Amino acid sequence: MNLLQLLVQTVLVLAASVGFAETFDLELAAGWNLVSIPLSPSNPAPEAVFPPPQVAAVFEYDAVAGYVVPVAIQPKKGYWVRAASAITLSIAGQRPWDTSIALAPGWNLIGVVGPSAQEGAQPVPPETDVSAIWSCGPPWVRPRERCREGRGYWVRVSRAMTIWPRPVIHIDAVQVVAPANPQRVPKYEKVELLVVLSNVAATHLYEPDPARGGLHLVATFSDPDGNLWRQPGFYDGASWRIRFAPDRLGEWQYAVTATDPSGQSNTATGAFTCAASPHRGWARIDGTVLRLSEGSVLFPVGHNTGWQYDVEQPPLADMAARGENLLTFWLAVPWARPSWTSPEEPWWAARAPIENLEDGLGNYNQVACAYLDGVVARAEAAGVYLLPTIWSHGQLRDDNHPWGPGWWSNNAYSSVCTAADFFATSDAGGETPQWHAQKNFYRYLIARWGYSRAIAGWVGICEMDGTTGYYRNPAQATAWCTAVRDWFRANDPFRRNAAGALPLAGFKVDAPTWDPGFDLRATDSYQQRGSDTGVAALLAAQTATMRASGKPCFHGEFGGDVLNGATQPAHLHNGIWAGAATGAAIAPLVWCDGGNYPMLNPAMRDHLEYLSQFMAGIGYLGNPALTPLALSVTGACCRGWGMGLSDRGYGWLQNTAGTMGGQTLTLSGVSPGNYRLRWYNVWASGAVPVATVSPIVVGGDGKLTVPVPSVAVADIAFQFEPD
Amino acid sequence: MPQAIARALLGLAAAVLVAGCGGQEPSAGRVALRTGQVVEFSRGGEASPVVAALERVVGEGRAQVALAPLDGGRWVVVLVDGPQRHYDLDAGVRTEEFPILAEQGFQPAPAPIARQLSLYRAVAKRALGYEAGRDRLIVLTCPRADWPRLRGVWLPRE
Repeated sequence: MNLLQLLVQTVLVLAASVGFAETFDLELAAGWNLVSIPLSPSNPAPEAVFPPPQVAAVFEYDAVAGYVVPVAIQPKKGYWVRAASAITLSIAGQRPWDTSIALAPGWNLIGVVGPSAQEGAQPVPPETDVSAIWSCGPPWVRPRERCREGRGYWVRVSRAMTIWPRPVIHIDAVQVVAPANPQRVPKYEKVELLVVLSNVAATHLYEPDPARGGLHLVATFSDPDGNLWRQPGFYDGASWRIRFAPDRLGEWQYAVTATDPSGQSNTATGAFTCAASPHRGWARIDGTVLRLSEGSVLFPVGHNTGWQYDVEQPPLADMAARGENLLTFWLAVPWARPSWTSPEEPWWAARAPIENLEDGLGNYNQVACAYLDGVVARAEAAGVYLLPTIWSHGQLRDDNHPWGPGWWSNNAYSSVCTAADFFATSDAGGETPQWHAQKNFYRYLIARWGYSRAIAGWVGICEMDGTTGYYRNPAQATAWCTAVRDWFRANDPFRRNAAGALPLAGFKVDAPTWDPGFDLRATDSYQQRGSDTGVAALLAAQTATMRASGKPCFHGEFGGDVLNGATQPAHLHNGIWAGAATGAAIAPLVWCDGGNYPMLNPAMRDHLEYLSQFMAGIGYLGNPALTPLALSVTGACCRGWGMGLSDRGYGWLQNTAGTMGGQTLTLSGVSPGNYRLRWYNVWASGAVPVATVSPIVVGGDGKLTVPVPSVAVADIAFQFEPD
Repeated sequence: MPQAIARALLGLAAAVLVAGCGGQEPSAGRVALRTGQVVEFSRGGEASPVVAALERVVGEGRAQVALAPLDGGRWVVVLVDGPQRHYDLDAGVRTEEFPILAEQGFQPAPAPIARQLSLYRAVAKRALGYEAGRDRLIVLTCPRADWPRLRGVWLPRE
């Protein structure tokens, strides 16, 4: 104990004691009890403290003389007391100012005096000379959490020493603050525990490692079948919380523990009942699609608002009303700083990085966290999924990169490494500080938002080729991708499938062959940002390339530059249909920045809705046999793409120099039989076909041939199935 | 459209923004410029909200704005510090109307950098309260050291 600690402890004890007598209630069971008194009794005579005949015998232990009858009852000593029957003794006295305990070599029988009135202290520091500590016998048990006032303890040491009891972190209460009925938690809905801690000695409240001055709060949830989920807790700037969501109906139990430099707390337990709900659970990887916990395939259709100060453009409920079910965005505006907050610009703190330069590495911007709490809550309410981007390229780019200056200078990690070294996870000294801090940050993401069914997955990094670390050392950057993937696989139980994979992506620009090992393949695409027609072929080819890996894939961004050749909604329309028709797991996500790439307008939203309608009608998306259709269409400027099984499928045809109508579609490899094919003018609807052709007879050659109906637009979609 | 804009500008009084690259405050007034007239970059006056918004993104002293009235709208040229000279025009604006772009060695921005210019455009539009069809916005990047040499005609020629 250093001088400051001793001073603080002394002040605490003095404040609690000097001049103030208090009463300690000591509960005795019938028979022998191993007890102590945390007070200097007003009358220390043994018969005054332990009055006969209720107490029949009292012994203390002397290292030399052995058991002896005490002359006076003192604090910090332990006593064997035999009660004639169960009784509670009220003992008046004052707390001693000196809580230190002198121990003789060998066995000592002691008691503790803690700074709090009822809960005590841990008398034994982590010294190797202390070989044993026992209490509460019989049966004899070694106290695992803390020594308590009123109990006696056997302590064996190898040499004479003095120990100073110190407070140990303690869970005072665990309160279920969500849902409203704490006993009944709807399936896949949040259960939030507010954990009240005392005696916290941690000094780094976002650091989970007690050895680094942190605090590790964790709950173990046990489902009705006995399966265990370990969910970390988090600090929200004012309180400690644990968030979880149950995935099985029935009775759940939980146990909460906290560990910090003072030691480990008691374990608080609780229970709740998981009740039925309409929710379908978390998105998980199943082959080349995302499948929800309840079994249905999730085909997200949405857009990307990236760095926008308000990411909810349009509002999530409005998105859902128009068929969109996915929003992807950057967790932070890379250049934002919390201190910029002003009434006119209220978004700065909310969109500044959670871990930012002003607050310092290892501290988390709670205004931004609260903002994300709101986004997640609104997404859950709207039934919209979120795909947050953890790191955006500009955050990790300094001024020495071909893309131009980024915002590394505003990155908290610039305090421990260069932009070039950000991706280094280890060096000669072991784990790098930047990797340690990242893991803490990822842990915080899981602790605070991991429970949410609205989080469809994570984008670990977007456009990695725009980072200095990748530019300088691509091998190191790629290795980082693997490390991040492995970390999430190990720590995100909500989205992890049976094989251990989870929807986590990272990507470069127009690099569909780049595979750093993430379980979700992705790329951005801007090569055809100025071509409404060209974007279709490009995105189709890129999707096919990524899907061939056997992993689910998507375009994290693609955009139509409306000041340099593209028009909307045509560019968006062609991009999303090309991606969907080539087997993307998520419809290509249009980049909306409000500059050259417009925010969603009503016409663009129409087309997202049409695609959503169309894909909702395809019940076999998760079939592992789904493969690209062998498809041809007549017409010099016509082309098409599609996905199908042997007896059903869907596709999209495009005329790059005219409208659709009069061409002939031929599908090969179709099982013989009679079929029905529906045509959709997907400039008007994805739900209502403009024409249905049946029966179409497919013979032994496996060819399904059908004329394309006339529509006054350049493309058309179809679905076919057995008639 | 640019020719119509230019015709509308003809006959209007000359003016206005004089601050230049040194960050001097512009003179007061908001008078339409004649086509082909020099518009100088500034950090102050009417440009200041836009500059402030851009400086939040790129850092203090790394953005300037030239701004002039334009037929009921505004003519805006955003200049941001960047490693190379790149430009991005607005809808309905053609490169041919700005020979100064070629004279000063500006090039269309390649893909990744173009999206950076789009970001600057988005931020400037937000700060301006940009109205499509009325306002015109050009975005330039250029090394800051070269800014003093960018004096020239930044309004479209007929």
